[in-house]
Amino acid sequence: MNKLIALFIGLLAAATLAQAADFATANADYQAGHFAQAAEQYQELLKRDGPRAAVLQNLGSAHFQLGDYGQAILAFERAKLLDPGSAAIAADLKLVRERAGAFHVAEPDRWQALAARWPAHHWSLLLLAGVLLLPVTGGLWLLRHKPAAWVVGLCAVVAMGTACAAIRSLEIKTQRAIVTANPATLRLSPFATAESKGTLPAGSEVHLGKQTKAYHHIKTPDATTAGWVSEDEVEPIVPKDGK
Amino acid sequence: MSTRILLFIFSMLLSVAYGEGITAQLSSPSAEAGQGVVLTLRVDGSPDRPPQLPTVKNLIVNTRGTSQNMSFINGKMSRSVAYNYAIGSNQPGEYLIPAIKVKINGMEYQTQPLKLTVRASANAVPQGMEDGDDTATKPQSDFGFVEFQMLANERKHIYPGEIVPVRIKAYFPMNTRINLRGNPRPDGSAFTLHNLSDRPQQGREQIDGKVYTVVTWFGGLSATKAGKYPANFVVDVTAQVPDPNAMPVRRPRPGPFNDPFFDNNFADMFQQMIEKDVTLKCQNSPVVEVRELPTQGKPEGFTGAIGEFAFEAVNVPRAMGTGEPVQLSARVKGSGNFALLGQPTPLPADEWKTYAGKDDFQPTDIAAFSGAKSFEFSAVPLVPGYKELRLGFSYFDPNKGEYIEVKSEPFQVNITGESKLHEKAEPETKPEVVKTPTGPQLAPLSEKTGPVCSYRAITHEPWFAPVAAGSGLLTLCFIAAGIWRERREDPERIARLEARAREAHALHMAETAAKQHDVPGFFSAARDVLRMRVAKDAPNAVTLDEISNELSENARELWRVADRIDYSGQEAPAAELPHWLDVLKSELQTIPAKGAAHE
Repeated sequence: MNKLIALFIGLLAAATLAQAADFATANADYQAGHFAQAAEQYQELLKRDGPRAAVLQNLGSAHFQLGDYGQAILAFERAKLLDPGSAAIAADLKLVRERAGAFHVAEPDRWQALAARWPAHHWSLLLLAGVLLLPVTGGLWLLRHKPAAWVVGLCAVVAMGTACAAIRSLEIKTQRAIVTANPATLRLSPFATAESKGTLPAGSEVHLGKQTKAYHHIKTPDATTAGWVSEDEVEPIVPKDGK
Repeated sequence: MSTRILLFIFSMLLSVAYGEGITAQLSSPSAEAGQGVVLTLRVDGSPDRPPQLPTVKNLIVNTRGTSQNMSFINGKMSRSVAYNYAIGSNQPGEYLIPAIKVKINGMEYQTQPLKLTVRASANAVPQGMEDGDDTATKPQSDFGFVEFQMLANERKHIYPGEIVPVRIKAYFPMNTRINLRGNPRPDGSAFTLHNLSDRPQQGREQIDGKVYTVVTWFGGLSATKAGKYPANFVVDVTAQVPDPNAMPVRRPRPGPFNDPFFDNNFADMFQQMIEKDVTLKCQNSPVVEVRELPTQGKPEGFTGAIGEFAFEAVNVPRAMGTGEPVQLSARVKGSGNFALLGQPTPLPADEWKTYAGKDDFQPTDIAAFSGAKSFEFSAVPLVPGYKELRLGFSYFDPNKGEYIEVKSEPFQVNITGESKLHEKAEPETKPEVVKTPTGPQLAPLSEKTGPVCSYRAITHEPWFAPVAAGSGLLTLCFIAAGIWRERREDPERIARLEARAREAHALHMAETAAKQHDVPGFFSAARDVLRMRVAKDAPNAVTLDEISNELSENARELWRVADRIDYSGQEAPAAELPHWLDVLKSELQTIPAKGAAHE
C-alpha cells in the first residue's frame, strides 16, 4: 500500500515537473525572440492542462510581439477572467488595446465591476459553501441551538444570494468576443457571398448573438454596428469548451 | 341524319355571321426618340395563328397583350380580336411599317402600311445602353441567347480593380419553358462580376418577328490584370423541350365555331417533355483592353480606389490633447470600387497616429456602383497647437487617367499638451521577428505556471445540481424533524391528551355500569365525564352551579339525579340507564372539549 502511495506521489511530482519544464522552455523561446514558437508552446500547455492565468498572460505577450493584436487582446482578456486582481495583466491589456486602437470597450456597471474582482470560479465556491451550510443550519435547529441556527442560516442565505448574483453578472461576459481577423468582414447575411457592409479591426470587442452555420451575428458595444461575421474571424472570450 | 344536317346549317350561319377583316392603327403618327406609340391590330374573326409583325431596323416592338370583343346585333354574333403593340425607337427618323398579313379561315388578309415619325429627344438613353442599339444577334440556339453592354462612355479601356457597370440580358423564346440554374457569370478568369442585382427585371421583346422573354441583370465588371481579353457572360438554364421520341398528342377536331379560342388549348399540357441543360453564351464577345495604373504621380496613401469620390461629411472634435485618442468620422460619396477606398487620414499625416477603424457602405443603385461609405476611426494627435485639421484620401479617376488627392474642408482645432512626435508608433505592419525581445513596455513574463483554473463557475459541473438538491433536502428533513419533536414535547398538548384519556376511561366506566345495571356507578361515572369535559381546572371540585350554563337541561337533570343518588340515597330505575347513557353521549357531541390540568 505504501508503495502504491509512493508511486502515485512520484508520478504526480513528475507530471508537475514536466509542466514546469515545458513552461520554462516556452519562456526561454520568448526571451530568445522566437515568439511564434513560444506562442505555439503556450497554446499546447493550455490545451494539455487547461487554462492558467500565467500561461495566458505569456501567450498574450507573445502574440503582441508578433503584432497579432487580436489574439493578444483575447489571451489577456482570458487571463483577466481567471485572475482579475492581477495588475500586470490589466496593464498589458491596456497597452495592447492602445496599440490596436481598440479603445472602445463596454464599461461595466458598479455591480459588474464588483463581481469582476473575483473569477467566476471563486464565486461558485462561495455558493457551494452556502449550499453546504444549509444542512448545518437544519442540524443546529434539530439540536435546539436556535440562535446559532439562525446565524448560520442567515450567513448561508447571504453567501448564496451574493454568489448567485455575481455569477449571473459574470455569465454575461460569456457573450463577449474579440475580433481576431484583421479586419473582420461584416456581412448582411450568414454566407460567404453575401454583400459586405463594413469591416471591424482586430482587437475590437463585440457581443455575440445568434449563430447560424459558420457565422455569428455580432453587435458592437455601442450597438451602432451589427452584422454577420465568419466564426473564423471572431472568438468568444470564454471558450465554448471551457478550455 | 336530320341532326347532322341541322348542325351543318347552323355552323354555316355562324360562319356567315362573322364579319371578317383586318385593320391596323397607330395611336399617334409620331413620337419622341425613347418614347413609344401603340399599334392596334384588329382582326374581325378568328385568325388561324397570332399575327407576326415584320421587322424594321431600329424599330423596337413590344407586345402589350390582346383583347376580344363579341357582340350580338340583330340576332347575329360578331367577334373581333385586337392585338396591341408598343412601337418606338431611340433613333430619330421616318419608319415605314409594312403591311401586316393575317390568315383567317385559310384566306390571307393584310393591312395598309403605316408610317411612324420619330423625333429627336433630350432624354435619350445614354449611348451604349439603348435597347434599339442592341446588336440583336440571331439566336445561337433554340433556347435563347445572352447579350451584355458595358457603360464605359467614350473610353474603350478599363483599369485593374475598376468596377464598370454592365447590363446583362438573357433572351428566351416565348414558346420554351426555361428554368434558370443560376445567375450570369463571366466566361473565363480575366474578369469578375460584382454586386449582381438580386431580382432581375423581366420583359418582352420582339426580334426578327419572334417574341422573347427578356431577363435583365445589372452588375459591375472588373478585371484582375492588365492585357486584352474577350468579355463574355454565360447563363446556365434548364429547358423543357418536346420529347422527339414521344407519340404526338392527338389534337381534338375543331368545334362548330371553328375558333381556336373555343378549341381545346390544353392539348399541349399533355405533350411529353424532357429536360435539357443548356449554357447560353454571347454571340460576339468584345475584346476589352485592361491597362495598368500609371506609376507616375501615385500618391503615397493610395489604396486602390478607382472612380470618382468626394467628401460628403466630416466630423472631428474641436478640442483634444496630445497622446489622447479621439474619434474621427467621415462620409465619402461617389461611384467606383468602394471596397478599395481606405479610410481618410488626418493631415498633416506625420502629426497624427491613426488606427484602423470600422467602415460601412450604403449603395444607391442596383449594382452598388454608386453610394456612400462611412468611416469611424481613432487617431492620436502628436503636436499641440491651434491649427487647421483636414482629412484626406486619394483615388484614381479613370476618365481623366490621373490620381486625385481629395482634402476636406479645414477645421480649426485646439490641441493641448506636450509634443509626442518621438512616440509615434511604427507603421502598422507586422513587425519582423527579431532576435531579442522588444516588449519593454509589457509586464515581465510569469515564471510560474500557477494553478489550473476554470472560466466558468462550478455550477456548470454535472455534480453541482445533485449536491445542491441533496443539501436542500437534508436541510428540510432536519427542520421537519425538529418541528415534529417540539410538537411532541409540548406540555399543553400532553395535558390535553391525558385529559382526553381520562374522559374516555370515565365514559367506558359509565357504559359498563349501564350494562351491569349499576345505577350509582353509572351516574357517578357520567358526572365525572361531564366534569372532565367542561371544567378547565380541578374537575373533581366543580359543582353543577358553576357549570350549569354550559350544560343542556337534560345534562343538568342527569347531574342532579347523580347528586341525589350520592347525597340523598335516592334510587333511580335501572331501566332508565340506556336513556341516560344516550343523554350523556349526545351531550359529549355538543360540548367542546376544554383543556384540563393534570391533577
